[in-house]
Amino acid sequence: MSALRIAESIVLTPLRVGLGGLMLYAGLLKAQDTLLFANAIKAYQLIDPYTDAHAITTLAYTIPWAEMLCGLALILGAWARGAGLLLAAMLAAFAWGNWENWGGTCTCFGSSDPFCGAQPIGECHMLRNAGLGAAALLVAWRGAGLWGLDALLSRAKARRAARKTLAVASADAVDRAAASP
Amino acid sequence: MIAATGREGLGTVLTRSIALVALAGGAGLVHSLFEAPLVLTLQAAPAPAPVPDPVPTPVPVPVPNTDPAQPAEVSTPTATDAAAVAVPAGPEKLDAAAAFALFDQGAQFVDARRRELWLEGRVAGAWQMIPAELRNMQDAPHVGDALAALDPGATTVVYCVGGDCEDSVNVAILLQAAGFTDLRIMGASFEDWQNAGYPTESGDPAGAGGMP
Repeated sequence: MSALRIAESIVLTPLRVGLGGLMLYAGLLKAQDTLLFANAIKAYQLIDPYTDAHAITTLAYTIPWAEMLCGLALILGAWARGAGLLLAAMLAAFAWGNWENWGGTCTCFGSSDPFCGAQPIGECHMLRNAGLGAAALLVAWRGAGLWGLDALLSRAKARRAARKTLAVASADAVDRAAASP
Repeated sequence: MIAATGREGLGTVLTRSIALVALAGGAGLVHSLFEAPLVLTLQAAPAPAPVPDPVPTPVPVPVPNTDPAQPAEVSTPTATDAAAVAVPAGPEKLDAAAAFALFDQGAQFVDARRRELWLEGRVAGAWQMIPAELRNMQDAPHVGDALAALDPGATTVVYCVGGDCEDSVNVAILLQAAGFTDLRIMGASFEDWQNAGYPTESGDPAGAGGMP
């Protein structure tokens, strides 16, 4: 366990837990009021509600759960790189939506946005998305760090493999000793 | 670029991302089973300025309550993006006979079905437009022709494929936003109209893509 890896984990752990918590919160808010979120998606006017209403409904139910699952994965440090990548992609899509609706209303965190409050979509929202997206990309790149489930499982797997190798080597040594005159 | 720094390769990372999307979709599907369906319906714009035409009091667009068990409604932007107000639930949709009575009195008809269906057959004299075309008229020049030809003050009957189809209501609401004051919805389908032996026509009229 190198000092560099420990230092990296000291940065990654609070980052992923904080990001995961935020995403879990954002997803929960949306999932609690799917209708409000569907309205928000429609208000962006990126999907035609006359011809593609089903797409709005699908997104209104899928996005909150994707956020919650990614949040949970990041907090636990399980599948953290996959969750970070998905989150980065989602945040990029949200940023595009915000860009297209500059000055509109963002319901990204329901009615209680911890970053930008109730102000219309603008620089604050873009900066927030960029910051969260950068954090998600960092997790996607470096993983959960030493104290996530991914690393714990990986270490447990490595220990099992080492024990198996050791057992095989010991058995070989015993066999060789027994075979020697 | 995402570099594979641990045991996971990029393929595994991507697979897990896709798996998370699939899980979210599944969870969303289950979630949707426990909630009232999200009914995407239109809301009308405020009544337009009175048309300088001595017509009777404007009648609100009748919007049938197609499923009272689904209280959830999502507002939809109107063509004018004006502040929306709810359209009150109105009288029943017109049946074919009632619509024909209006036809006989000179009402104008609007077909809110797809153009290919309109070409196959329509109420005689009916113009064609669907909600998406009304909202993006630059992509549907025939809608501009129709709006230029239709009289906003005259009785206008809108129909679609019958049953629970909403396009007639959506078109009517958009027409109301465009200044039409006496809009009616025919609940009967074109087929009902045709089977009743009322006047029909078909084919692509020459010229602007509207009516002959």
